Amino acid sequence: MIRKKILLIGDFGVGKTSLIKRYIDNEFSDQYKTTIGVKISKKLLVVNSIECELLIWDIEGATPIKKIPSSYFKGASGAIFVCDVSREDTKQNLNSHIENFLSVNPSSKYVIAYNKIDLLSEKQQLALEQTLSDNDFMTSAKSDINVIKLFKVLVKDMLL
Amino acid sequence: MKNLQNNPQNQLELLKQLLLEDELQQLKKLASKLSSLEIDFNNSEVIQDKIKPVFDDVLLSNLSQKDSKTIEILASYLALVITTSTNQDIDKLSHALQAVISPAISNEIENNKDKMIDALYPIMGGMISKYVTQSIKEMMESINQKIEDGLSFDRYKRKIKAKLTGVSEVELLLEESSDATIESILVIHKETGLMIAEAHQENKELDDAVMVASMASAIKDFVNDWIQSQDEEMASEVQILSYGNATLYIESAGSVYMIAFMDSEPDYEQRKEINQFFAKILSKYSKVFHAFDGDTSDEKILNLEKDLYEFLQTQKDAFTPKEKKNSINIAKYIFVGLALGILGYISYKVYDWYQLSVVEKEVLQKVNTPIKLNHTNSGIELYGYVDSILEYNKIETILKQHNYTHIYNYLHIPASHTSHKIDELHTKLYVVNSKIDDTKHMLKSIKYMQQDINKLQDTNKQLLSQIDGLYHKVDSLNQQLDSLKHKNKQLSYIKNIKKYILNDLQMVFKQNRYYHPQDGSLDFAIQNLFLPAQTIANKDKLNLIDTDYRRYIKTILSDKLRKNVIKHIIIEGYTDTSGNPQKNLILSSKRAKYIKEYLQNLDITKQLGISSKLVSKGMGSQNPVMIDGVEDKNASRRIKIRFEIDNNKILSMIKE
Repeated sequence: MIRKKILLIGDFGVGKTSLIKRYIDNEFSDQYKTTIGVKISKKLLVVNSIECELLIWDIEGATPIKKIPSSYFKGASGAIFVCDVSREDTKQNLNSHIENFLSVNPSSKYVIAYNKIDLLSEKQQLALEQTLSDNDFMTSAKSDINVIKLFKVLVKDMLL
Repeated sequence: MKNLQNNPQNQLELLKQLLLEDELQQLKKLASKLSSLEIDFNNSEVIQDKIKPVFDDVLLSNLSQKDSKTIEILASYLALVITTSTNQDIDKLSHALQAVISPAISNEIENNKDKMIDALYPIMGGMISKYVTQSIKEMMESINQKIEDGLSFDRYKRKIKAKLTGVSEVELLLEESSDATIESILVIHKETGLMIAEAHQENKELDDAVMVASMASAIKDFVNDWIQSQDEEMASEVQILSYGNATLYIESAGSVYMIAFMDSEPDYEQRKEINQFFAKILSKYSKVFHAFDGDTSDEKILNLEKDLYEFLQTQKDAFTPKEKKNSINIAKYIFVGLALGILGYISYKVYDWYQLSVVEKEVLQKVNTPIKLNHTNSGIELYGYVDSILEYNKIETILKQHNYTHIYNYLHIPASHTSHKIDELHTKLYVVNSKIDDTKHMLKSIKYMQQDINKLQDTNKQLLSQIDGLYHKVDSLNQQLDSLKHKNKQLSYIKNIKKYILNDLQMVFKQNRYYHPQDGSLDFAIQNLFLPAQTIANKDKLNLIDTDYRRYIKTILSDKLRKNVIKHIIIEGYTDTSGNPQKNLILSSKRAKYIKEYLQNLDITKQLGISSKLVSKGMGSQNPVMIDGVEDKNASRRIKIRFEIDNNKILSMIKE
């Protein structure tokens, strides 16, 4: 059994918690997220015959009033950066989140979730798809699109 | 008029009237004013009314200019005024001053807080200290009183310890009551917050230790971060987190930290023990900790868990010494019994001595002869000198009045008084006197006596050896009784072993939806564990079975006896109700076999050596999962784990 810590990072309201709810086995109350800025969930999965226990840290987006301890970032083997495809600013903030994360964990793996894809028309979805790279996923927690794949690809990458 | 005009004096007056008419009028007015002033001058009230405003103005002007003379005069009078008012109406004065002083003090505190604290500290500090000391003293006295009132062996033990060590009983009592129990220990990787190893007291397992470790790590980081942002110079870390009765004692060093979950805050001694243990594992496993990458299957980590369990066991033994308590209880009863015995013996001796001295005094008063009495097991012995048999008779009467019937006389009686009455004496009266004439008779008596004594000694020896034999028998019976009690306990455990196992399972799985308390089975009615017609389980769902299976076998095989009497751990496979029953039976057997092999390959099954106990069984479409009268087919395709007791083995163990 291998245990790994991964982070979910993104602005407020991009759907991080919904993505996790779609995926996990066990979780702590949402109350922790508003109190100490993080909520931890757990997922057991088998990838390439390796049993893996994922500890998923759902980190609240920082505000000028509420600072998130930098130690939450430490020791993460991977991260999922989440943005809301219907809010341009959340996409623009992705780079800053990724830079922050890599400054603490330079060799860690990450994937990007372009979430709430169900809000886009087919045409818009096709247009977005053209711009994505291998580790970018169009996801929808609401319609259960690519949620499991998102985590699996990240874990496989981490275990390589 | 003519007359007036004729008289020169009158003419002059007339002329005055004509020329000085106005002046005379003014003179009259002045005279009247003067007269009014004279009246006012003599009236003090009028003068006060006139002068008061002037004085008020002067006083105000002087005070506003802080004229020292005015302040000096007023100061002396102010003191007099306050003193007089205090004597006359203290309440009125208090009210008057309160209105001025309270706002003034509030204002001063608000504006010059530090100054006020400095000024009040010597008084307030002393006062608070005095009251706190007094309260603690009262509390200590109250506790001491309670201790004094209590009657127990522990109390006397504590008392002796307090005398020997010089530490007060209260402190010892507080120390005794402050032992905290360590319920769980987690070793956590500092950087990732991932749990490396865990250990728990029996029935104190944390629901999801891995998540608890991560969450505790986040909380610790949050608190540390907050404290350090408040006080940048502070580099220390949070060490205690408390909530209600739960306390997390955190010891951190290097790349890991250890959390001890306790039921109250540890005292200095316990912290020292935990820290020493932590230092020990740090030095033993430092390489493992440094190289930790999330892989918990390393053998060294299993060894670490063993060490953690051993430490928990030593802690448990140290703070809940059950057997020791039992031995203390036995020692306590022996001690109390012995003390009571000694006390009883002393009381009896004192009472006896008192009774004998009363009789001796009576003899002295009535017979005028000092004698010495000695109480033996067989009767009362008399020593001393008497002048005649008559005196002896009197003594004998007194003794009988005091209910002494068996009398052994060792009194010296002059032979002249005994010669004719010697045969009438009590059979047990022996006269010892060198002047007795009938020496032949005496020698004969002594010979008989000697024979009697020898016989008695033989009987005594026999009795002693019989008593010894009886003691041995009692010891042997006690041992047999202990052994029977132990066997009885074991028998009761063996007889009810299933009940005990079910109780333990209920404790562990009470909130688990797959657990069936009726037969102690885990019925994994997980959605789509098997797809229709498939014999290979969905691998993502296997994790759920894996976790519960580990807890299940750890519970049912928690001791040697259970391992002995559990014949099988049966994995039952099921299908939904679709299709041919024959085929379903085969399909369910294959599903059960697949899960059995999966479980046999788990490390825990191998470590416990129970692979052979795992058996699979196809159950076909029996007992499908029904929801509101409709079958949930995705859940019906499931497996069930249960245990089977070997009743024959139990019977043979009972017979043994």
